[in-house]
Amino acid sequence: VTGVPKTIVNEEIEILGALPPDAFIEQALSHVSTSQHDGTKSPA
Amino acid sequence: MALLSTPDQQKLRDAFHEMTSPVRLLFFTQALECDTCPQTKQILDELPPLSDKITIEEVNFVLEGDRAKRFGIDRVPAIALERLDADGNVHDARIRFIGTPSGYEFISLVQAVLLVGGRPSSLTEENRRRVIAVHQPVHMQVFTTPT
Repeated sequence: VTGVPKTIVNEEIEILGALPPDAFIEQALSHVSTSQHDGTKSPA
Repeated sequence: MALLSTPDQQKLRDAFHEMTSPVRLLFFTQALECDTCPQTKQILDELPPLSDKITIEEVNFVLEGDRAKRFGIDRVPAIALERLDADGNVHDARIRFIGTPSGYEFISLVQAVLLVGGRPSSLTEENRRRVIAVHQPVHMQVFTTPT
C-alpha cells in the first residue's frame, strides 16, 4: 500500500482514492457475480 | 480526562439520538505487547456516555482466541460491531476496524456505529439494489491513515 484510502476487494480489485458512490460500487462489484433484475445470475 | 471537547460530545449525542437499535462494540485487546490497545480503549470509552444505545465489551484476544477467530480477528487492537434487535438477538454487522480508530478514523467509527444503529443508508436506491443483488461473499479491506 503506497497511498490511502485504498480498497482491496476479494484480494483482487484495487481502488485507490476516494470515489463517488456510483463509481466505487461500479468498480468494487466489477468482478462480483450479481443477480439480474429478472432473477437470473450474472457470472463474476 | 475526556478526549472529546464538550461541544463535540454534544454533536455526537445529537447524532447518536438518530439510532433506533442498540450497538455493541466488541473490543479485542490484550494486556501485554499491544502498545496501542490502551489508546484504543480510551477512545472507545468516550462513546457509551454519549448514548445509552452504545455498549463496549472487551474481549481478551489471548484468552478468548476462539471468539476472535470466529470474528476473523487476527491482530489487536480490533473492533467488531454488532446490532441488537428488539427481541434481544445479536447480529454481526460484519464491519471490523483493525488498529486504533484515532484522528479521522474516529469519524469513520462514528459513521459505522450510526449505520449499524439504524441510520438510513446514504446510498441511492439504485446503488442499494446493486449491492443487494450480490450473492457471493465480498471481502473489502479499506486501508487508511488517521492523519
